[in-house]
Amino acid sequence: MSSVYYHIGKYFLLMVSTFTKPEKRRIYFDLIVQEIDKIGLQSLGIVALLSMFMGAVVTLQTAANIDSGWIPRWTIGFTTRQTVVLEFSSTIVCLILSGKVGGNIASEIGTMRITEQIDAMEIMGINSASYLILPKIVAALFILPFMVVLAMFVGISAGAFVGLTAGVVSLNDFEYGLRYSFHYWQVSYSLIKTVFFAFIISSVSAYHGYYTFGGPREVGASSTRAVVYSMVLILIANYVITQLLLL
Amino acid sequence: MIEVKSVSKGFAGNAVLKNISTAFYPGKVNFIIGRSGSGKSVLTKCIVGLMEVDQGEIFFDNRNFTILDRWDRKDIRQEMGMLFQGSALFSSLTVEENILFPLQMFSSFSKSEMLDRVNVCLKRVNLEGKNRLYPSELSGGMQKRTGIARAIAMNPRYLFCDEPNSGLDPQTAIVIDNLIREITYEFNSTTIVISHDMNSVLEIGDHINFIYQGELSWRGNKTEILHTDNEALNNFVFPSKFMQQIREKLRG
Ligand SMILES: Nc1ncnc2c1ncn2[C@@H]1O[C@H](COP(=O)(O)OP(=O)(O)OP(=O)(O)O)[C@@H](O)[C@H]1O
Ligand SMILES: [Mg+2]
Repeated sequence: MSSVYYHIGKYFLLMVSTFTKPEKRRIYFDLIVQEIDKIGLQSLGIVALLSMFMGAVVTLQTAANIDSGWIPRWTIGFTTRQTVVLEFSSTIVCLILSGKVGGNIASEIGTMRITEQIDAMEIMGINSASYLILPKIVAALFILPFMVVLAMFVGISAGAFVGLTAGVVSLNDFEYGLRYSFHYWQVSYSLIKTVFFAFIISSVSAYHGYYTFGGPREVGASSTRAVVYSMVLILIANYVITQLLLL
Repeated sequence: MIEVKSVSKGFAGNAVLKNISTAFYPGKVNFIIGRSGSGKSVLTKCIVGLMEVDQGEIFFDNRNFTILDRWDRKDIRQEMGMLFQGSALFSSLTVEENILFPLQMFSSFSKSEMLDRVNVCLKRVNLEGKNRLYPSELSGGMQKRTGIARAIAMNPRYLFCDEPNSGLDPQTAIVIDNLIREITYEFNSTTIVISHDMNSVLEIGDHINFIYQGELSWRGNKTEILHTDNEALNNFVFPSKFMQQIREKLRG
């Protein structure tokens, strides 16, 4: 148990060094742009693919399970919207990204640690935590919400598409379901969660990478730990935020 | 001048450095030698502040480095250059970007002045025109030389070289040694070299510190090392029959 406190303490100390004033703004700006590309744009494909199939499957599942005259067909559109907007787009996309992006961040920083590149920065008088970690966190906080919005669009469109082509719902019904008791608040809720998840993915993975000691094997271990811890923390955070925001 | 005063350092109750006091002089190539595991790297890491000492103090030209926190250390850090044992080049950056790195962070040069400086440093280490290559595209010796170019980019007052010629052939090793010596004399930097290589110690060692079992066992220059009666040092520098014969010849 004491080791849990040890890690939490060490994590917060790392965050303190990370969020101290950057050396040269201009350089940080360039780094953030690079990270937005790496964290966001290079993951667009997987996010689009994932949300497409999620939206499609949710629509078909709902259609298959409301085979009763009592439940109106527009429920299909409604359920697809609720599932995709509230949970799948934010939570599932972030879980997938913690595997891709988190693993990447941890192994990149971990490799820099074991090859003494981080020591080389420190010797020059550069705050390595801030230089390496801050741009990743800022980039993730910035770009992930956009990707989640994209996932919502793709998911719902894919749902509508398979619903229509499979002939289980009419466009009118689906659209009625989409609009039924919709509040923008539901999107905001999902985006608020995304911001927390983005912080978890980038900072927790960076923490595991930054404190890698040893050789290539340890880099692999750090990267695995980064993914596992990010995922578990995302699940816990999802529960806590849902409880706080929806009830 | 860098002064080390009564420095001790241990890990989990296992003492690695025991009460080491010595000094490293400007415009000289100062060596730290000793057997594998004797604590050379730990001593160097303590000096540059990558490790905290358990006891003792380190002074950089009368500035007490030990009591400074990481923010105040920054000023002295910017006067340091270090060549790491594994070169520690930034693998995602080209040769040019590696050398630009400290300049971009800390100098007030314009872009073209920085590029000029990069080319001067590359020329210094005979790597002109290699600007666009990545570290993975360089040989070990070229990586070391790039590491030196990066270390001298900011005209360091203090230059640290951890095993600069390990893993290099004897001829390339001599090129690197001469480079380190020339840079030291040219910039009057306080240079500290960690080495196993007796060739370079006897070639460019102005001041030599011999660490034995965590203690500073001997200090002197390369002429004195021939005449020492320190047994551990003799066994270290002249381990073979061949080297002993050379010593006898050199003693004349
Ligand atoms: N981070 C560390 N944690 C625990 N022990 C360490 C650590 N770093 C070094 N040591 C121990 O300190 C001792 C000296 O190590 P050091 O790396 O200074 O040796 P060295 O003289 O540089 O040897 P070599 O010539 O092989 O590089 C060794 O016994 C090593 O096990
Ligand atoms: Mg060593």
